Parts: sequence; structure tokens; C-alpha cells
Amino acid sequence: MGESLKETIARSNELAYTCLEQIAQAGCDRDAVHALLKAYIGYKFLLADDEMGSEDIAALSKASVDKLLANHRKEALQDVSSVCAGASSASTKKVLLIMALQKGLGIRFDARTSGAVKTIDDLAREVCARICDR
Amino acid sequence: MITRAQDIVLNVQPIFFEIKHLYRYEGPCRSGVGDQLEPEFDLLRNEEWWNTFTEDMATRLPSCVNVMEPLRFTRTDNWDDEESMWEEIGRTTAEADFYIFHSFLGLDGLVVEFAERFGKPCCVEPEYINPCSATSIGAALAARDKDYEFYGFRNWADLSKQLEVLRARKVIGNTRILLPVRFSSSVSMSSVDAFPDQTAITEKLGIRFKPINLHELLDQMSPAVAGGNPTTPGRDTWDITDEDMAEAERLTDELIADACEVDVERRWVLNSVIAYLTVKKQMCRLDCNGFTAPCPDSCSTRRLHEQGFTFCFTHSLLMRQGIPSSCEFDTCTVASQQALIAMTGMNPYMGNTFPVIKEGGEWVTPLGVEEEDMPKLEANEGSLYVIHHSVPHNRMRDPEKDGPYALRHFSEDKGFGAVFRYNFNADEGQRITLCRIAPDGERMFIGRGTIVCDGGYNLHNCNGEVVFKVDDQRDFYEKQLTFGNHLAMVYGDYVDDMTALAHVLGMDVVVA
Repeated sequence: MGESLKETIARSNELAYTCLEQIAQAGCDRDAVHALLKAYIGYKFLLADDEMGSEDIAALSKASVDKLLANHRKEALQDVSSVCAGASSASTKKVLLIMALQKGLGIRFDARTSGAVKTIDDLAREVCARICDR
Repeated sequence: MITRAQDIVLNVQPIFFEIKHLYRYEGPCRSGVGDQLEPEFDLLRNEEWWNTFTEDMATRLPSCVNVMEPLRFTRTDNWDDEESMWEEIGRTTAEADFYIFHSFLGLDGLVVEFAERFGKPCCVEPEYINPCSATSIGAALAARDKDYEFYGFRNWADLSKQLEVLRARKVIGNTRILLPVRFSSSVSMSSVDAFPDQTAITEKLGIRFKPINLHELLDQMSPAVAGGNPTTPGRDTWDITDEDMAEAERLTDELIADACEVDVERRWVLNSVIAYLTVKKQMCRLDCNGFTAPCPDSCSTRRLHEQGFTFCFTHSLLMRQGIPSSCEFDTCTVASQQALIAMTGMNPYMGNTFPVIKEGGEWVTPLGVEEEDMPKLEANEGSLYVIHHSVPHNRMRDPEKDGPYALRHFSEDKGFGAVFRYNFNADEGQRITLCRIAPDGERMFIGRGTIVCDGGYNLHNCNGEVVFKVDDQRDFYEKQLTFGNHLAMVYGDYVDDMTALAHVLGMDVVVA
């Protein structure tokens, strides 16, 4: 029998955690951090390599939501918003990604910086800046 | 200065309300898992929404709008709203014409309070994600016994269209009509259907009326004389200067050179241009952006005969610049032209509007239609109407591009009074929209027609006409009957747009 969504998420989270450890070591190497962040996002968003063509985080968030809805509709929306919570699933995913990165790497983005991050390159720049400053 | 319709923008103030939870909890208004319940989640999510809101304000609104710097206010789950927020919003109300809010669960009361405090027109942005605020706020305000102007929109296209309509309303409210008066300042000897109560129109629509003395205006169409003009002895007045004459000569030569036919003497074109420049100077001085002049009232002074001009050329030259100008002191038509200009961006024409009747096998309505065009009338018998006046121009089809025109003369005997002629045969089949605001300002007539043929192109005097067909001639006539003689027209089908404008002006609409 195929892997359940819950099992897939658990496995992907483990792989994502591995990326975080490598990012912390890569430190100021922007290219390395960029590649690792890309992998990290792929694991967190449950997107395969061939689905990670875009650098735009909003686009990747949307692709993730669309894929989950297509394959696991009932379980997929449990951790994203309903109407009254008001955020689009895609924007919620981006915010949760940022928060997970902050927690995992022990860094902080203020709200304005978080909002200004649009691409993986933007994210790599901000992550490197904070790791290098430590 | 003359502020044209195209110079007026609608000032839109975006206001972003956001909610911030101070504690981690879940309940009827807030749910999520893990990090979604952290206070920090609100901060980051609000920033995403703020970015989307400001980008939408910058990219999704029509070009007739000036977007003011967006304001952002935070409410926490202590429900503490400081008066300083309202003071900051209050400082925008002098400039802002319209407010667009971002609202959300727990914030709608702020929009209601805004309406209560300031009473300015406003809306909630189209709610693709959380479609609850507009209907909640709309109902709350409708329940209060006061006419709050609150809008909700299904989508950005609807919002944009309404902003265009509201801008047109602002244009009308910023209309100031110059009126050279001989007898009555409200109606003339030939236009008995102008606004009889200008005060009421000012109160309802914001249009202002600026009367000046006709004789003083006529005196100013020549260089200053020692001791002042006869009507204003001892006073400095705005008479023709050397610079004005140079401009009059230049414009006269330009208009003659660009005409495809000239059947009027240059000296009469010059006199008509001098009259136009004098009127324009007064409009600039008095910040007027609309004009009308009485015909029999001014004609019977004999001064137009002596000075060798009529006001027709002035009306044409103003209309072709997108400035409303009407024959015969018809202030209703000036206002109607402004409504069309503001809503459509097209340059108007106007004139006596009446049905074309055939009776006993004979066309009994006097027309200047050429013999070769008569079959077009035969083909549309029973559906025809005509707009007739000597004020066409060459920028009706395209406000940005000069079309062909001829120059002829109004007076038959002496040959003065330069007039434009435009051959409407070039636009056969063109849809047109007609409009007239009723003399009481409470109703708007909107008509739809299709150009059939030209009339009067080769004639002098008060000729120049466009024959058009309507869906139902009897219906058109009976509906026009309580609105007035002159209709203003523009090229294009704008019935829906004008209907929307009439609604925000608080007018009943009659469509024919």
C-alpha cells in the first residue's frame, strides 16, 4: 500500500531537518545555502525536483497547495486556513515556512523582511546575512 | 484656469486594518495548528496581506484615480482603538474622495465607525479570500437611518468601473459655467428649457454658474481704449492685447490652412476667433470650464452684427478641446456635455433634436440632406431623428486626432460668423449616445442612435446636422418631451456608463 500523507509529511520533515543542519554549516556560502534552501522548500512543500522550476516562493506555495488538493484534499487543508482565518493557503504556507526556518536555524526575520522575501534568492540572502552575523 | 474634465482625478485613500492576537489560543474566531497560533504568525501574515493590498492599489485601479499613500492600523485582541488613529484618518478627508479598506473578521466595526465619523464614500476591497466584510458592513450602514455611501464589489473590474463613475461625478461637481447675461441669468429668449433654479442645481450637483455682463464681454473683444470701455468707464478690463491679436491671427491662419474647404472671408474667421479668445480669457480668469451664450438676447443688441461674429465658432472650438459649450444659453446642455465628456472621454456635439417626419409622401421636416443621400432617409423612414446646430467640429470621432472640416459663415447677407462644417457621411453606421439632464436636475435622458447621413455640410447659416436612426421614434420623442430641445451627443455606445453616472448623481434615468 502507498505511503499515507501523514507518513509522507513525516519523512519529508526529516529530510528538511537535514537540510537545516547543512545550511547552518554552509553559513556564508550563498550558493550552497541557495541550493539547500531550495531542497528544504521542496521537502516542506512536498514538491518533487521537477516541480521546483520556479524561484518564486509564492508560486511554489501555490503549486504545493494545488498538488495537495489534487491528491489529498481532505487531509491537505487541515493545517491551512479556512475562510474565517482569511489567509490564502499559499500565503499561509509561505509564513509557516519562514517561521520554521527561523526556529530551525535560530535566526529572526522582522515582518517587513519576511514580507519582502519573494524568491529563494531573497531568502538565501537574508539567511546568510543572519548566519554570518552570528 | 480652465480645468478640463481630463485634468480631474479621483483621490483614493487606501486604509489597511489588521488584527494582531497577543496570545496563543484557539476558538470560534481563530483556528490553526502549531505555529499558526503564535502571535508572530499574525505579524508575518499581516505583512503578506499588506504587500498584496498595496500592490493591488498600485496596479489594479484605473488611470483616472490618484492613489494616496496607504495608511495601516493595527487592532489587537485587547480591542483597544486609539483616538489618534481617527485623527490620522481625519487628516485625509479634505483631499480624499473615496476610501478603499482592507478589513477582516474583528475589524469590520472600524469601517462602520469610519462611515459614522466621516461619511465619506468608501468600499471594502474585493474579497476573494474572505468574502464576509462587505455584506456585513453594508447591512450595518444600511440599517442606520442615514444615507451612507458604501460600496461592495464582486471583483476589481466592478470596483474600477465605479471609480470611473465617481470621478465623472466629481467632474460634474467641479463644473463652473460662464454665462454672459443680457436679460435673465437662468433662461434665454430661445432656450426656455435651461435650468430655471441654478441654486438647486448647485446644491444637488455642485455645478456653479458665473454670470458676467454680455455688453462688458462684447466691449472686451477689441483693444483697450483710453478712459475704459463704455460699459465700465474708468476701469481696467480684459480687452484684446497685442499678444491676443497675434494669437488670433495665428489661429485664424491655422484653421484656414487646415480646412479642406473655406467659404468664408478671412476677416470674419478672425472676428470669430477674437470672440473665442475673449471668452476663453474670461473663462481662465474666472476659473470656468463651461460656457453658453444667449442667441436672440445677444443678437437683438445688434452688436454681433456690428462686430461681425457669432458665438458658434466659440462653441465648436471649446467642444473640440473637451470643454462643454452650448448654444442658446442652455445650461442643461452644458451640464449634459460635461457628463458625457467626464464619463466617455469623447468630445461632444449638440443641437436641436427632433424627429424626421414623412407625411403624405413628402418629407415635411426641414433638412439640409443632399439629394444623393435621400435614399438613406427612405430606407429608414419612421426611425429617423436629427441633431441640428451650427457647432460641429473635427474631433468628435477621435478626441486626439483632427478630422476633416470646412469653414462657412453664419450670416447670409454680410457673411460674418465663421462656422465649422463636418460631413457626417464619413461616419455612417457609427453608434452615438445622446444625453440631456432635465431642467430640474432630477432626471437624465439617455438615447442611443446610429448615424445615417449628414445634412447641411454645404450650407451656411445655422445648418450642420447629423441624421440618425433610433429604435423607436415615437418612444424617443415621448421620452424626450419632458427633458428639452437640445441633446448632447458623443460617438460610441455609452448608455450603460451614463446610466451608472445618473445613479450616483441621484437621478432617475430614462433610456430611449
